[in-house]
Amino acid sequence: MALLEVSHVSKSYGANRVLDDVTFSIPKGKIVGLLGPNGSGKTTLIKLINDLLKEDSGSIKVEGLDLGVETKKLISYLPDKNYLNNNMTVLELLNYFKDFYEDFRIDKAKELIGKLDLDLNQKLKTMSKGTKEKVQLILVMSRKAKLYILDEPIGGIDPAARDYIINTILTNFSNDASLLISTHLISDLEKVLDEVIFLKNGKVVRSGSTDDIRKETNMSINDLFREEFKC
Amino acid sequence: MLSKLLKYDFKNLYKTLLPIYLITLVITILTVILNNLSDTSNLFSTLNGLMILSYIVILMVLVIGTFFLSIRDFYLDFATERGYLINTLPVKKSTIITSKFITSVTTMLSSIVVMFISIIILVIGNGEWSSFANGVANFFKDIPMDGVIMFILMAVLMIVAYISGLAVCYLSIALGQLKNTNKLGFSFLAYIILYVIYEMYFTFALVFIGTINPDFVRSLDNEIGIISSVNILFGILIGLVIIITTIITPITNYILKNKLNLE
Repeated sequence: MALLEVSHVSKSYGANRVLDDVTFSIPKGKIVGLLGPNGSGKTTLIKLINDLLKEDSGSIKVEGLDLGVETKKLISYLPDKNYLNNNMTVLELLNYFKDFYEDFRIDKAKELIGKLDLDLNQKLKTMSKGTKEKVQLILVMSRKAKLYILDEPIGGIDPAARDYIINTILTNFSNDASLLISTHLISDLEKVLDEVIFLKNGKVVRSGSTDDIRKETNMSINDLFREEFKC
Repeated sequence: MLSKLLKYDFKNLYKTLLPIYLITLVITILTVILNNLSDTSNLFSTLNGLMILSYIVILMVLVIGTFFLSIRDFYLDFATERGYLINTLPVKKSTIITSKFITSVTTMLSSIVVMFISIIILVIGNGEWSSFANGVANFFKDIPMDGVIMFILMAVLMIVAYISGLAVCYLSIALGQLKNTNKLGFSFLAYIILYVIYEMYFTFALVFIGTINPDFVRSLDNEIGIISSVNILFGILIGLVIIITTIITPITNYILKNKLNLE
């Protein structure tokens, strides 16, 4: 059974069809890149999987379960913007995650926060945008989830911070878990992706193993992306 | 999970409310001091006037602000980016909504308690405690059993009406968030429409009761036994409020569970 199964999902905002008959599945233990330019429907798709939006048609299942309380226990989600309460301190946030997620490893999170030299009693609102993003990532990656979904975790971040984030992602998820990562900055992530899904104007235009796609096209994923999505 | 949600919802609301409570008590004490000094100079007399004005404003802020904070909290959790966190927690929507109701009612009750404490401080500070206490004692001394029941029913009615008011606001927000743009504006629009329906419901229900039981309506005009008739009216109103609230709240739950739109 696939870990995530997206089947014939469509979604419109008014007359604007954002996702059109999207179908794909993600097996266990894979790092999958959800690739597409801005406005291709990546964030909408991710919100649907996280039950923050409802599909107009089609179905989404995680470990064979319809979306709901049980699937939320399995998914660790990083949105593309700050979604935490700015008035909370880092420690309060760690305790919040510990209270609600049984799989949250608070010691792991404290260790990662310590490496950033952050004060646990510092409020989120006193931090820079980049530091807030790192705290969010630490919270998300400190869960022992089955499926991690990261929406543009390296978008708009300087290269040094990008390395930190990629390293944090790769060293903090277990082998039996899968990771769905949306980005348009492919060169930084290409080497770690097992599979890719290309999304264009709300449709899956290509998907499969990165090795197979490279062999088939004689191009790197980054070059193929540029070719596929050139203006 | 409800207890955990309550912990964070209370913390979140009281972070703003506790400073308001503190300001209320400080303004109360300053009002007492200036009131006692107002006879000594014109300056103190003018300041006392301003302080009494501030006192009235802070009491209004206390009650209206508590209500506003509760509604704002619900709106932020279901119609803005803050909702990404609470709506991805492994918690049922009904549990989240229940937590919002409990925290909203509790914070309103605590604000009312602070208001009463402030009034008592004002009365004591102005040396009017004994006449105030006597007045209250005299009021309750000869009150009949029906009168006691009336006060209890009135208190119950105020609490259920507040819960019902919250339920209407929550449903308005649930309806407003269905739109992709201007969710706040559509929430207001939904509130106006729901309020009209709500008022019509009470009007029709009371007219219906009056039609099938005209003797009851006449008894409200009759001085003999008026309190027991008012008690029956309060009982009917409590029942009507409970009925509409138990209809509204599952609709809110259904929308937020099946039609959440954090676009």
